[in-house]
Amino acid sequence: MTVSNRSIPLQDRRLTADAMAASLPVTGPARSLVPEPRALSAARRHTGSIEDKVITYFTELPGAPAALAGAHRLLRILSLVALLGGLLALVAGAATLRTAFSAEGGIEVNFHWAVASLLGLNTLTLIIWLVMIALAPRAAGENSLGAALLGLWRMGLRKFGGRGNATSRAATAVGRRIGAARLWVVSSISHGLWLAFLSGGVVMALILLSTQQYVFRWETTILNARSYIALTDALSWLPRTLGFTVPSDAAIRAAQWTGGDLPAGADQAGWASLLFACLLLYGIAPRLVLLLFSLWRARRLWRAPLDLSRPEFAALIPHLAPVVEQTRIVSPAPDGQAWGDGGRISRPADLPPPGGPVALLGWEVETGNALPQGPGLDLGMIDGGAALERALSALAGQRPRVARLLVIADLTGTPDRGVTAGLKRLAAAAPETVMLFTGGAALVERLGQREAADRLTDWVSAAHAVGIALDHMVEIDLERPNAETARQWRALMGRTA
Amino acid sequence: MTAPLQMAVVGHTNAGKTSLMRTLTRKRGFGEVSSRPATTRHVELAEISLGGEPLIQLYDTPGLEDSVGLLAHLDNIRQRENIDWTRAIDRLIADKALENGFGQEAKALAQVRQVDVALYVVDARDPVRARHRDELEILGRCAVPVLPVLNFVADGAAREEEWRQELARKNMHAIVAFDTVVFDEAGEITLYNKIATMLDRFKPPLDRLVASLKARRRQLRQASANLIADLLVDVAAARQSYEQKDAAAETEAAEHMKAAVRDREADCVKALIALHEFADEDYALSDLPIEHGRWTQDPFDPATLAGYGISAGTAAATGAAAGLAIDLMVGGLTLGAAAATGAAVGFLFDTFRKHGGKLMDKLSGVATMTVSDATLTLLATRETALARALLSRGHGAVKPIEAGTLTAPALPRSLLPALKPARDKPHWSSLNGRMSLGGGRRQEVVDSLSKIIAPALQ
Repeated sequence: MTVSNRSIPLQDRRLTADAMAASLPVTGPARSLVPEPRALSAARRHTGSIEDKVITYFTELPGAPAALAGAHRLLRILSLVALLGGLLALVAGAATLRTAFSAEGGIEVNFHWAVASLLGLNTLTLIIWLVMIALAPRAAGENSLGAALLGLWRMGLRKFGGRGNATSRAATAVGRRIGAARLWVVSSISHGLWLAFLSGGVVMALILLSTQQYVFRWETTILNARSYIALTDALSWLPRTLGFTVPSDAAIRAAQWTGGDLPAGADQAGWASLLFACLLLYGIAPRLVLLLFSLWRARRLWRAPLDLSRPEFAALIPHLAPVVEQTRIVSPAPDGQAWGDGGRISRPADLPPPGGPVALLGWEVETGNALPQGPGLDLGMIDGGAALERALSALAGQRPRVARLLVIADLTGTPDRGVTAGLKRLAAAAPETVMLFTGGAALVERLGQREAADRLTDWVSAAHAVGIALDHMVEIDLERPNAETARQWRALMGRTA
Repeated sequence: MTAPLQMAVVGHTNAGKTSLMRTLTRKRGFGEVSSRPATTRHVELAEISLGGEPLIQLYDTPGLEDSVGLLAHLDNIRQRENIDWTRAIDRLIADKALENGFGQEAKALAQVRQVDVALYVVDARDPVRARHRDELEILGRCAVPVLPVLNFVADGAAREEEWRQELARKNMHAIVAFDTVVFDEAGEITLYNKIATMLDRFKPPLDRLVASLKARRRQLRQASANLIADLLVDVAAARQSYEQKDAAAETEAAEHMKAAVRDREADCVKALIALHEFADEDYALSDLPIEHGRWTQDPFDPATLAGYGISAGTAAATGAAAGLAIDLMVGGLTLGAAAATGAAVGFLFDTFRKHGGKLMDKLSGVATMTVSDATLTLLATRETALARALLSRGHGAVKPIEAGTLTAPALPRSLLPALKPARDKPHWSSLNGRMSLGGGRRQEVVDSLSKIIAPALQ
C-alpha cells in the first residue's frame, strides 16, 4: 500500500507528511538533506501545488504507511479515552439525577433541587468557558476537563505508546496537529463530556418518570415564596414559548410544600415536562451547539495545509519544485578566439628615453587626471569610433613625427575584441607604443587579489596579441600616484628631473 | 495558458549576464562566471516554471565585445544594400558563414531578435562609454523591447544616476536597478513588474511568479528563524551534572558541554546554508569566519562575547540587543581580547549558571550547569547575522560574504524571557540525549521564539 494514493483522504496524507518530516534530522549529526531518489522523482513528476508535491514526497517514503497506521492507532486510543470519559460522565449524570430524585426518600422530588443538581455546575463551567474564550483563549485550552483528558491521553502514550520509530513519528505529528487545534480539541472534549453527563441525567429521568409515580414539589424555610414562583415562571417561559407543557401558575403555587401532607392536585405531567424542557433547553442544547461549533473549528485546524515554512519542508522545496527544472545550450560557442595566457610583465627596467616627441592618450580613460605632462601631444580620451579616427589622423598629421605613443588603459575595464581592434590600429600608427595599466588598486577592491591578477594577464595578452612588446607594458596606478610613480612617469615622458 | 515569456539577457562582456541568470534562477551552478572576457560564448536556456508550467524562457547570451566595430559594420551593410537597420541586423545574423569577426555578437543578436524582451545588463560601476551607447543603438534597432538592468548598484562606486540619465537620453525610462550579488527582493519583483507593464499579455503569469517568489521568501525567513529558535531551545535546555566540590569533574563537565554546544551550533550553520541553497564547502563562503560549517570563534570565549557587545556580566546580555554593527573578525584575537582581559578572569565558569543550590543536588552532592544568557544571546545574534547575510546574497555572487559587513540586527528583549520555559526542561534538549515523545509544548516555545526572531530577518 502507498499512502500517496489519491483515494486516501487528504488530511491523512498531510498527517503522514507531518509524521515523516518529524523524523527528518533537520539539525543534529545526521543532518544532510539528500532526498530519497524514488520519492523525489515521484514528487517532481507530480503536477500540482507545491504542497501536493511535498505531500507526495513524504508519503512515497518507505515507512510512510507505518507512520500513518501509527497515527491512526494514537487517534483510536484518543477516541477510546474520550469514549470512556463519555461513558463515565453518562453514568455520573444518571447517578446525580437518581440521587436528586431519591433525596427525599420516597416519591417526592424537590423540583429546583433536581434541576440545579444537573444544570448548576454545568452552567457555571459553561459561563467560565465563555469568559475564558473571550478573554484568555490560551488558558481555555489548558484548564478544563478536556485538557485533563488530553493530558491523561499523553500520559498513557508515554507509558504504553511504544517506543518504535513509527510511533514516535506519529506522536510528534499528531501532537503538532492537536497542538495547533488545541483550544478547540479541548473544548470539543469538554462539551462532549458535559453533554454525556446531561444525557445520562435525562435518560435516568425518563426511566424513573416512566416507571414510577413522583410528586414534584418545592419548599423554602426562609425565602419568600413569591420569588420561587417567579423563578419557576421564568424557567418555564422558554419551554412554554417553544410549545412544551408547563405547570400553570395555580399548579406552581399548589406545589409548594409547607409542612404536613404532600401538596395535592398538582399537575405532575406538567412538572415532568418542565423538568425535561429545562434539561434539554438550558443544558443539552447549548452544549450540543458549542460541541458542534468546536468540532467544526477543530476539524478545520486539524485539516490545515502543511506549514511549508517549517525547515523540514522549506529546505526540500527547491529539490521538489526547482525554479528552473533544466537548462540547455541552444547555440554552441563559435570557434576560435579563446583567451590565452599571454605572459606576464615583470617590473620593467626603465625604457630608454623616447627618440622624439611623445604623444599621450587614454583608452576610455581621461588623460587630464594623469600626472603633470611634459611637452608633447595630449590626444585625450579615446571613447568610441569617432574619437579613435580623430586620434589616428592627429598622429598621422603631427610634425615632427611622434616617436613614442603612451596608451593609458584602465584595468577595471575588460580587454575585449573592441579594445584589441582599437589598440591594433594605434600601435600601427606610432613607431613605439607603451601600454600603461592604471586603476590596479580599484580593481583589487572590486574583484579581490586573485581575479585582479587574472585581469592584468588578460590585458597583457590582448596588448601582446596586437604587437606591443612585453617590456613596453607598465602597471602604474595614476589614480594613486606616489614619488616612484612620478619618477616612472617622467622617464616615460622623456623628461629628466 | 499563454506560451512562455521569452527573455534574452544581453550586455557588454563582463557586465554580469550570467550572474543575473544565476540570481533569477537561484542556480549557483548555472553557466560559468568569471572576470575574464568572453566567459560565456554560447547561448544557454533556463526555463523558469511554476507548478510544472513553464513561465519564462531565459536565454544567456555571449557578451557584446566590439559594438563600435559592429555598428560600423552594420552601417556598411545598410548603405551597401540600401536596407533598414533591422534588416541589416538580420543580414549580419544570416551572414554567419562569412568571416566577419562578429560571430559572438551575431549569436547574441540572433537571440534578441527571437525573444519578447531583452534585458540589457550594465555594470553600473562603469562610466557610460561610447561602446555602451553603440550597444544601445544596436539593441534599439532590433525591434524588441529592451529593459536595462543596472547591476552592482549596491556597490559604493556605482554611477546609477549617470546611467539613468544616459538611458533617458536613449528614450529608455523603464529601468531596473537589480544587484545580482547583493540580493534585493524588491528589485527582483520590480524587474518582473516592469516586464508585465511592457508586455501586458504576460501580466497574469508574471503576477503568479511574483506571488510565489514572495511566498518563498516568507518561507525562507520563517524557516531560518525556526532553525535558530530550535538551536536556542536546545542550548537553553542543555545541562550537565558533575560531582560537587570536585574541580576536575567540573572542568570536564564544562568542556563536555562546550563541545556539545559548538557542535550543535555548527549543525545550525550547516542547516541555514543548505536552506538558502548555498554550499558551505563552496569557495564563495570559505572566507566567512565559518570553517567546515563552524564558526571559528568560540561562543564561550569572553573575547567573542565582547566583540558582539555582550559584556561578561550576567545581565549585560542585553547589550547585544542594542543592534550594533559587529565586526566578526575582531572578536577572537585582537582588539576584543585586550578589551576583555579584565572580564576574562574566572569568566568561563560564569558562562554557566550553577544550580548547586537545589535541594536534590545538595542531598546527592551533584551540581548541574547550564549555558549562560550571555552565550545564548551571542548564539542568537550571530546566527541571525548569518541568516540575514544569506537572505541578501544573490546566487550570482562569487565573492565570499565579507565578514566585516555582517550586521547584527536588534534582537528584541523578549528573546531571553521567551527562552525561560526551556531552562528547566532538560528533556527538551537534543544535547541531553533522547527528546521526549510528542514535545508539543517545546514546539510551542520554538514557534513563539521564531516569531520573535523572524522580524529581525526582514
